[in-house]
Amino acid sequence: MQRILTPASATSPIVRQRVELEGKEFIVDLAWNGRLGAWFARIADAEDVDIRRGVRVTSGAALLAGIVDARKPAGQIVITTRDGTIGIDSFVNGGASLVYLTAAEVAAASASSATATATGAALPPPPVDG
Amino acid sequence: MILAFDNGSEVDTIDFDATMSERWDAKNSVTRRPVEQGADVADHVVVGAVDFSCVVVVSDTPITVPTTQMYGVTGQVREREVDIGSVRKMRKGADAAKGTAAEYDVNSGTVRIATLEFSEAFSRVERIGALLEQIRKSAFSCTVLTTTREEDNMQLATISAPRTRGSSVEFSLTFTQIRTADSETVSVPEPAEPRARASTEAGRQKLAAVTDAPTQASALSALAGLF
Repeated sequence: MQRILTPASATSPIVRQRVELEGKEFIVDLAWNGRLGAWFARIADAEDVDIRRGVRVTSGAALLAGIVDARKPAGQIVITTRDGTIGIDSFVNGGASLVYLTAAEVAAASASSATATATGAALPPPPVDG
Repeated sequence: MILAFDNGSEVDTIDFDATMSERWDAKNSVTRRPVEQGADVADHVVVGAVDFSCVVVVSDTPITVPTTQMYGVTGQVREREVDIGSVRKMRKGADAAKGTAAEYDVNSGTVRIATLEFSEAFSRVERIGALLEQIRKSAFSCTVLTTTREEDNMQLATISAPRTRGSSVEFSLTFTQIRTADSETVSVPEPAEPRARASTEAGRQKLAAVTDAPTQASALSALAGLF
């Protein structure tokens, strides 16, 4: 589980960065929409071809959920927040983070969830939508 | 009524012989929808233009010397003696009982009268008609002066000139006032939030291991929602 350091803030409301996720390079764009008061993300491969774009960054959201694309990262990118809200400076003041979970971690979480469902154990609380 | 207009090089005037009627109209377009409580109501009213309509008369036989559009023709009041010819005056009435007819004295003589005479023939009706048409076609900016009101930036919108009398014309005119606005250059305030900024190329960003338990729990919680 790794945090993607994202220098997106009020002074840099449109940020493009390259990250290496499990040996493959990807482009992550973040843009602040002042009218909606929200960040919007775009994930692209190393050649800057869209994998997913225009997804609103909200607390507990998984940026790659539902994407069927061989080019996508093996794991999953989720949004974590300190208090459920994401402001324009949340990525630089620690209020929100892009967290990458590797494929192994996703698989382990999936297996754990399946076991918990089978045994009737309590699942972790659902994500808080910001 | 006096109409002053700027023809580009000078301000000329038309002094009409008589004003039969005049009418000022001004109308605002007021919203018929509810206005939010506390809002500036003036923002929901569209101020309309002032309209002016009038019926004026121009005569080729005026009873006073016109002050405009005479183009050198002068007029002055002159007294003259007029021969009134023979006038019969009854001296004695007829008497039916006596069978006598009425008796008359016949007088002749002259009287002195004052008349307005012009130095030469003119057609002010024709000249003013052409001038009004020129004002309309050229869209000259006019100033309307009446006994009660004066308005500038008036545009002549319509001319109607039915000839109702032998040597005069009643012009029906309508004007619309042009409203103007001044432009001013002001500095744009800084937006509360940055907008239209260029994209920042952050380059290659490293990943940092998540060590704090709340973030780990939050990430796993988000992931759990997918299964």
